Amino acid sequence: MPPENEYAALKGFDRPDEKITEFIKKMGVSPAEVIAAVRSDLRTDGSYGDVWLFACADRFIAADPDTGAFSSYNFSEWEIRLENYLATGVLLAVGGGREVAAAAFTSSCGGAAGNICRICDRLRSGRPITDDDWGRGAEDRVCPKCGTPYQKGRKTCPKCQSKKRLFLRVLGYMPRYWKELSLVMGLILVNSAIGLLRPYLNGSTLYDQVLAEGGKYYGKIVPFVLMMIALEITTLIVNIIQGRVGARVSGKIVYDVKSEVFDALQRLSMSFFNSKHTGSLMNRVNSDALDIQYFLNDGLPQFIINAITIIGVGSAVFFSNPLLALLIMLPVPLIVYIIKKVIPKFNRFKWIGWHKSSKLNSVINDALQGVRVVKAFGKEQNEINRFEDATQELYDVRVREGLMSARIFPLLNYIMTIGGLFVWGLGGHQVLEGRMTFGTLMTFVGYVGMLYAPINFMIRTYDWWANCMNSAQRIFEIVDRQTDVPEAKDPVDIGRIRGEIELRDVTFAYEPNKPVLKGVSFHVEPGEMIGLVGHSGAGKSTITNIITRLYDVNEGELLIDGVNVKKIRQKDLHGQIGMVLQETFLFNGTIAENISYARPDASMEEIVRAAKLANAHDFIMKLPDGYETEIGKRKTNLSGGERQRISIARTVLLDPAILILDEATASLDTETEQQIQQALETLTKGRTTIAIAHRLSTLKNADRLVVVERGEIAEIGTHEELADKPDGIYARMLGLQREALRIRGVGDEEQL
Amino acid sequence: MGNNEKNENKMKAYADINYLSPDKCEFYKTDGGLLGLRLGGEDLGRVALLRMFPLRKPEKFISVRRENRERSDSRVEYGVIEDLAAFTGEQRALIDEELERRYFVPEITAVTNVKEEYGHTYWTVETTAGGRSFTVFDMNSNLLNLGGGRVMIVDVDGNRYIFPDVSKIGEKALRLIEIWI
Repeated sequence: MPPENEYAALKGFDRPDEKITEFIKKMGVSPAEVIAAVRSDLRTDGSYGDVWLFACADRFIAADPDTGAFSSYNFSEWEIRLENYLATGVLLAVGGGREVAAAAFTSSCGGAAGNICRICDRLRSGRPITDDDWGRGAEDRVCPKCGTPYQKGRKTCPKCQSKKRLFLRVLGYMPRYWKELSLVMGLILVNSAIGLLRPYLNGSTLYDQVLAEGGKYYGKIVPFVLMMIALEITTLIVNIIQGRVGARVSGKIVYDVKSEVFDALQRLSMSFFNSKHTGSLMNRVNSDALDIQYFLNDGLPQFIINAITIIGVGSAVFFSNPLLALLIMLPVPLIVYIIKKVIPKFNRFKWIGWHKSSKLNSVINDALQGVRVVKAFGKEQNEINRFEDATQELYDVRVREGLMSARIFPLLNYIMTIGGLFVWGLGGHQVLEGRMTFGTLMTFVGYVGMLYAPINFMIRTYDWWANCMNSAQRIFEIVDRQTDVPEAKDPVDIGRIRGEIELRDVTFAYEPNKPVLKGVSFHVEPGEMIGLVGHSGAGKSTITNIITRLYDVNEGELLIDGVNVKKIRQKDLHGQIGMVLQETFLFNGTIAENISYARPDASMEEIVRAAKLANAHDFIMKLPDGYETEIGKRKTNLSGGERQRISIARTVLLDPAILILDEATASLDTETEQQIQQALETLTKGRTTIAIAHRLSTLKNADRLVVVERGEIAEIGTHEELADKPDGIYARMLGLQREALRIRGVGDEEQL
Repeated sequence: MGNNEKNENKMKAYADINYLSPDKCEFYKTDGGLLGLRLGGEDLGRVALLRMFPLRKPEKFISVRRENRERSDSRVEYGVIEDLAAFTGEQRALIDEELERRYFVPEITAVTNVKEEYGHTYWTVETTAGGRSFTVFDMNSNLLNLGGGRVMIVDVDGNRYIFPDVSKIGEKALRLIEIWI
């Protein structure tokens, strides 16, 4: 490391090492000039290498000590721009009609490249560099501890996460139920003790004391049998109690884990859900919680039972007959070998089989869900073939699995039996010589049978433990995750929102370096209706996502009633913003419940009034169960328009100060659209409304239109102003839509 | 010209593929070392080459697109190269260089070390672009079997790597990924 003071002006990102420091000094750059530095991982010729990128007050520098490459771009002449490719990107120096690939990077360094590019932009344009600009190095996906790249969004990498702490944390679910658990523990001990006793009673006691002449209990067969029956009954009762208590506790633990995860999921911001499959999330909540349940409920007690059995049996046989004990142990290494080496192979077949069967399921799913398409295109035979292929693959794996299992398990059994035969052989000899009683031999044989199963379990303990820790880790990952839309520490009490919205120079990207909004600014008066217009992917919905604070802006500010939205309590904000989207979502439940979703305390009168305002009352009354019609049950098929009107009623009931309409009528036919338009008109009255629509006619009531083009505001004005603007984007869109209607023979100018 | 006819022409222009033959186009290096194109005598400045089937047919159907920021051109796609084989010599080298830069997917020539832990696989490999260490998570969605032994994996950062012949990557590595192939 070079001395700290050498880089006196360095404020960010990576600290240059000695090698690069020497190199730039040699090239005539003083380290004191460097304001920002990052290390990139790719050369412009497409080979991997450590290339350092520097921002100085007046220039950008790319330097590669390994190849000796050095280039410098003065800000007076060059602008640094970022260009993203498939999984790499380049920093382009642009100036004087030329574009030069100044540096390259893979996506691993994409964040770093974005950082240095932004700093260069600030330095060149003379705009101040904010703390925000410096703070964004934190999104690194390299473990701070060991430097290994790992999955985004975790605190430390799985390699470095302490397994001991993880384990203790899993155990942390248990103390809440210590009474039940100690009962289970006690019962387990009783059970193990009886288990150890049984071969002794069946062997030594029965043959040597009860059946043998001169035995202590000679002839007392009936009491012996009664005692054995009592013992079995005890075992039975112990088992039943253990099962019942265990089931109750483990149910509760799973409930705890699942609700903890679900709470966390509800807390997290939209960006988390966009980056994860909802399916894999559900899988996590369900299967991972189950894994933890197994661990606490079955795994841990089993481990204890088996440990006690091995120790108990082991010491019992060694103390009574060391030679025979050794014989019992003879096949153990072989068994360990088989379990360690062969079973994993066998499990892999199981895995592959599982994978193939889920593939088969998806083929079936496709064919059934897409049955209209399949039939319409007459592709039934194709689907049959696809199914047969998938079945064949599954069949092949299952056969291999079956053949393997047919080999291993008899072999294991055989080896264990051999162990028993050894005992019979040597033991029988000793019995004949009178060195051992027949009862002791029987006890031994009983113990041999008890030994192998626990050994099998113990050998596989690690895999099973690792599995549980893996699940626990994934669960805690969600539980621990910080939302990236945090609640303000001391929020401003906003009260009833008037509905003034202002975006100030807002820049936003869902993924680093790919801004969707660039420097967007506009102001909306309370009660005003704004229409957002633009091509698909222009950033219209993103603007509404920002206003509702599903996401936070990267740069700039969003003010509501003059207050930065980050300072408003989220409950206050979301309770006063209503959304009607193109895709309506209705929950399982009655229509009334769906309408009162945002305000469960609403009275019947309020619900009915909301439905009337939303133009929904009449169709609801046609349903036999009226407002109590269950959605999603008994073939209640509501049309798109009906569902939309229910969701509008939901918003009406919320009585929001700000209303967002995102393509609310896009998927409806013209007649339904008119009905909904009516409903929306009552809804928008007196509220700040942001409406997005492709069909420009739907925006005819908007006070002003904002035209968004490639993440920037292109035009703002009233319909009349924009429609007459020569070469205007809105004017062009209007023209195209009119033409389209004419071609279709609609020719209804009123539509537009 | 009637409205309908005009419209049909428009549609036709929309759906037509304008194939570029080597005699029509001349690729060159711009001042900055990037790819430029002169098409039938017209200098288009910097252009981008995008593969339509980048995974399984990387040499066929290359879209030649506008990349010159200064140029206000209503054309977004200048044309399509149907098969790269038609281009030879220096022209082909220029095209390959641009494609290589844009589609940086190194081939893994040797697996030095691989380890699996908690659903993550950690790889240390030699590639055609040099040595590299990376991590793959969730093999199910990050492995793509391209057929003929070619397998692509995507690491946690979105970087892509290709095994040109998956049967030669060594038993340990193969065991880790074979389920998904």
